[in-house]
Amino acid sequence: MSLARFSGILPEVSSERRTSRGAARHVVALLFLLVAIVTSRRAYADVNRPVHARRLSSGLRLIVCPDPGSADVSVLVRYNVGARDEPGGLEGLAHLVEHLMFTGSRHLPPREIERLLTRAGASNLNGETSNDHTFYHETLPPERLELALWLESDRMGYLLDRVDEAALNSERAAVINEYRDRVTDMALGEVGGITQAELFPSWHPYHHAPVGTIESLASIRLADVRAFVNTWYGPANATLAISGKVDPAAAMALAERYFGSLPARAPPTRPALPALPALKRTFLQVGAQVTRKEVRVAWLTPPLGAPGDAELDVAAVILAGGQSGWLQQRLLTAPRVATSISAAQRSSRLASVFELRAVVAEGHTEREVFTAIEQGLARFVGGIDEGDMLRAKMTWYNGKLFALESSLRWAVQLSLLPEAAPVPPVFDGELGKYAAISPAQVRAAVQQLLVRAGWVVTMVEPTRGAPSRGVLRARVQVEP
Amino acid sequence: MTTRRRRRRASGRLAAALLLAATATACAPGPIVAPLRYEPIVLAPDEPFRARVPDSSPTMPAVSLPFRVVTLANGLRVAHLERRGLPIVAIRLIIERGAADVGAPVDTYAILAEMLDAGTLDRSGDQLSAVYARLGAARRSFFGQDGCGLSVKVGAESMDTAVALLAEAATRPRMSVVDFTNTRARWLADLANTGYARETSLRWSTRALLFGRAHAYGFARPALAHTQALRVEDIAALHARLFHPSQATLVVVGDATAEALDASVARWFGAWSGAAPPAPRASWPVPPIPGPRAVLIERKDRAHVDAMLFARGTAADEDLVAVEVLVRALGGLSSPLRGQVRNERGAAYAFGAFVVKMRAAFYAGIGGAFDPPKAMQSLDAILAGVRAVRAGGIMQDEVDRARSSLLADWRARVSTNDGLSDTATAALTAGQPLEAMAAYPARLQAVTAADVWRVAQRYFGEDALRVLVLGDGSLHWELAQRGFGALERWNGYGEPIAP
Repeated sequence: MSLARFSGILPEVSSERRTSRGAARHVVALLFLLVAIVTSRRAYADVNRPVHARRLSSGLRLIVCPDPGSADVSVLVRYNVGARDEPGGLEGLAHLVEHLMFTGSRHLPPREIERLLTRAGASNLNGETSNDHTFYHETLPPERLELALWLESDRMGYLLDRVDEAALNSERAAVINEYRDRVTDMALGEVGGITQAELFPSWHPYHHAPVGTIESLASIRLADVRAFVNTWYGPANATLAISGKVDPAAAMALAERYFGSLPARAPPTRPALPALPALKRTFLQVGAQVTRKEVRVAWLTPPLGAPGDAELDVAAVILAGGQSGWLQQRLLTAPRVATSISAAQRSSRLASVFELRAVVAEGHTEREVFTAIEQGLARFVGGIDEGDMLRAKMTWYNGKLFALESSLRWAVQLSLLPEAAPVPPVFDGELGKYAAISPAQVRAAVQQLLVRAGWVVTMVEPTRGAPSRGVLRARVQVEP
Repeated sequence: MTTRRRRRRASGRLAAALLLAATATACAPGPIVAPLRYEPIVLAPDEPFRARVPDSSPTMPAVSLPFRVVTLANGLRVAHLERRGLPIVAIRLIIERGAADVGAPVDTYAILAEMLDAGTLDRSGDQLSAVYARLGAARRSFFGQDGCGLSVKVGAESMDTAVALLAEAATRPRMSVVDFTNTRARWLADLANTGYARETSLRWSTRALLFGRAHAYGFARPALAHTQALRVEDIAALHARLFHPSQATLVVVGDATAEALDASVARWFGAWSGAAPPAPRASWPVPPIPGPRAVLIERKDRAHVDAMLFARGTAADEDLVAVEVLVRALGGLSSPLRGQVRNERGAAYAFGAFVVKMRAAFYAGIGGAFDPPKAMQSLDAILAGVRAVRAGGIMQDEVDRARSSLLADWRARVSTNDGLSDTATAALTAGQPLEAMAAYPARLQAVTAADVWRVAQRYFGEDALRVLVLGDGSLHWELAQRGFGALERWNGYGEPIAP
C-alpha cells in the first residue's frame, strides 16, 4: 500500500501512479535501511568524566564529578546501611529512620528541609531505602550547592537532637500508610515478600522486605531509632557524591567545612554469614482477588559483581528483554499462553535473585507457562547467536547511557563504587561493563545458576474473597 | 482424680506449653546482624558556622531552547535542538491532532495506538521489535485527547536508522486483520482490569465527573458491542485522518547535526504524501461542569480511602500558570496543608496536588490515599484550605516556594532530551508554539500573590468544586453530610450504578 493511500485525499488513479513511483523509492529506501541497521553496530562512545575523590578526616568518602555542560548539580549521600542491618522484630527500622531524616535536626527546625530546598528550586528531593543502602538526594541550581551540603551535614551529625516521640509517631504513621499503599492495597503487593521469605532462610538479612510489617513498625521504640542512627549514621559509613555543574575545588572545600569535623562514628563489623543452603525446588500457591493468573520463577544467584551476575543481566535480556526475547517469541505468539513476560537479575550485595514473571493468557494454565519457561531456558544449551548477544549488550549499554542524562544518576553510580577500592580518576557510568562478556559465559551461567539450580515457583490463582495483595495458600517442595 | 490433682496437671501442661513456646521463640533464628549500639550517644559538638543558613533564595535559570524549525514540501515540520553532551538522540513524531479533534471513541483510538507497534508493510511486529532491540532503542507511542505520536530514543550513531523506522511505523503500518483481532482481544482483556484497578478507576471517573461522559474529554468507556463491531478498516481510517504530514511535527533533540538530520528526514519522510493544509482543530466548547458534585466509587477490600477535590476551568492561558502556582502552594511538598494532613495527623503517605492541562480546558486535583478513620477529616482540611485561599489569598513566601518548585520541575524536565521532547509534545498538542516553552520561567516569575488570589476566586468557587472518593460504602453517609448535594455511586468506569 502506498503512502498516498493513507493521506486519504488523492484520487485513486493518482494514487496508483504514485504507488509505482513510491514502490521504486521504497525499494531503495529499504536497502538504505538494511545497510543502516547492519552498520549501526556501536563503537562504544567515550563519555568519560573526570572524578575527584578523597576521604575526609571524619571518614566520609567524597566524590565530585564535574560536568560543565550541566544546568544543575546533584548532591547525594549514601549510607552503607539498609534493611539487612535490622535486628529481628525491628523490620522496617531502616526505612523509618530514612523518614525521620526529613523531620529536622539541631539547626533545622521540623520540616525546614522541605521548605528551604523547595524555595531554592530543588528537584529530586527524596530518600530511598533498600536492603543494602539508604540514599538521600536533591538536585539544585549550581548556586545553591552550599545549602544542600549544610543541611545534609546537619542531619548526618545532629539528627538525634530533634528526634522525639512525636516525630517518631508521626513518621511511623506515614510509613504504615506507605505500607498500605505499597503492600495492602497493591494488587499482588504481598507476593514479593512471600517469595523473598522462601528464598532466604530466617537467619538471612534478606529474609524480610525493607518495608517491614505493620506489627514490626508498631514495636519500634525511640531507643531503637537512636541506637540505629548511633550505629550506622556516621560519616565513616557514608559516601557524599556531587555531580553536575560544580567547581571541584570549591565543592571539596565546602564539603570539608561541613562534614570534616563531624565525629566519625565508625560502623561495626558485620558478622560473617553462613553460606546460603542450596535452594530446593518449591511451588508456592498464592490466592488473590485479581483477574489473571500469574507465574513467577525465582532463583538465588551470585551477589552484585560476583562471577555470573553480569552474565545473568545479559541472559535476562536474551530471554525477555524489550519485546523480542526468546520467551516473548515462545509465550506471546500462537498459541499465546501468556500476555506478558519479563525477566530481571536483581543484584544485591549479599545475594541476588533472578526472576521471571509471566501473566497467563485466558484459557491457559500456569503449568503451560512454566513448561514454556523451562523450554526457553533449555535453548541456552544450544548456544547463543551473535544477534542475541548484540541485542542484549545494546539494551544494557543504552539503558545505562540514557540514565546518564541526569546528574543525579551520575551521583548514584559514583556513590556505589566499591568502598574498598580506590575511586578511578575518570568514570564512564560503567558503559563498558558488558562489552567483554562472551556467549559461552552467558550460556555457562544460565546452565549452572538457573537450569541446574533450585527455584521457587509462585503461582498466583485468582481467588474470590482473597485479598488482592495475595495470601499464601499452599507450599509444595518437589525435592526433599 | 481429685480436683487439686487435675488443677496441678492442667497447670503443669500450661507451664510446659508456655515453656515450649518461650523456647521456640528464643530459638527462632532471627537475622544475623551486627548488634545496635544502645549505649549513651555522644552528640557532635556544635560549631558556630552551622547556625547560619546558606542562601536559599530562588534563582532564575538561564536555559535557552534554540529550536531550529524547517518545513518539508509535504508540510511536515521538523524542530531540531542540537545537544552534544552525550551521544543520545530523542526523536518524536508528534501528531497535533487527537481523539478530541476527530471524535474518536476510546476503543478505536487505543487499538490504533497498539496497532502501530504491530508491524509495518515491510516487517512484522516481532521483526520491528527485533530491529529496535538491536539498536538498544527505547520506544513508545503516546495517545492523548489532543494529540498522539511515536517516540524513539537511541544512541547518536543510530539516528538515521531510528528516523527510518519511525517513518515506517507511522506511515506504513501493517493493519492486518490477524493483528487487529489479537489487539482488540488484548484491549478488551485489559479493559476488564481498568474498571477494577485503583488508578484507572480514578482516571475514568475523574474525566466523567469533570466533563461529562458525552464530551470528548469525558473519556467514556465504549459499549462492548461497539468494540466488537470494529473492523480493521476503522482503525486504518482513523490512522489516515490523524497521521498526515501537514499536521505533524518531528521533534529531534540530542546529538545530531543539522546536516545529518536534514538528510535523514528528507530521505525517510520526504515521500510521505499529503501536501494538503492541516484539518482545522475541532472546537469542543467545554460545557458547564455537569452532573453530581460528589461521587463515591465503592471498594470493599481496600485499606485506604482515596479522596480528591477537583476544580476545572477552560483554558484561559494567562490564568493557567497562576493556577499551577496556587495548586502547588496548596498541595506541594512544603505546603502547610500537606504538613497538616500528612505529618501532623498522620493521615496519608501519598498526598499531593496536580494540574492537568489540555487544549481547551484544565483541571486541578488535591488529595491522597488516606487512613480510613482520617479520610473525611482530611477532605475537610483540603476544603478548608481551598476556602481560606479563596477568602484571603496566600502569603508571598508560599508563592515564592511554589514558583521555585514548579521552576525546578521544568528545569529538570527540559534538561534531558526526552523531557524536552515531552515538553514540546505538551506545547504542540495544546496548540501552542514551541517558543512557549522557553517563555515559561518568565511567565512563572511574573505570577503574583494577587494573581493567585484572583484565580482561586475564579476557578475554585464553591459550586465549581467536585469530590471523588474511592472507598468503603459506609462513607456514603459521611460524604452526604458535607453539603455537596445528592451523592452518586459510580462503578470503576465512571458510570452511575443503580441505587
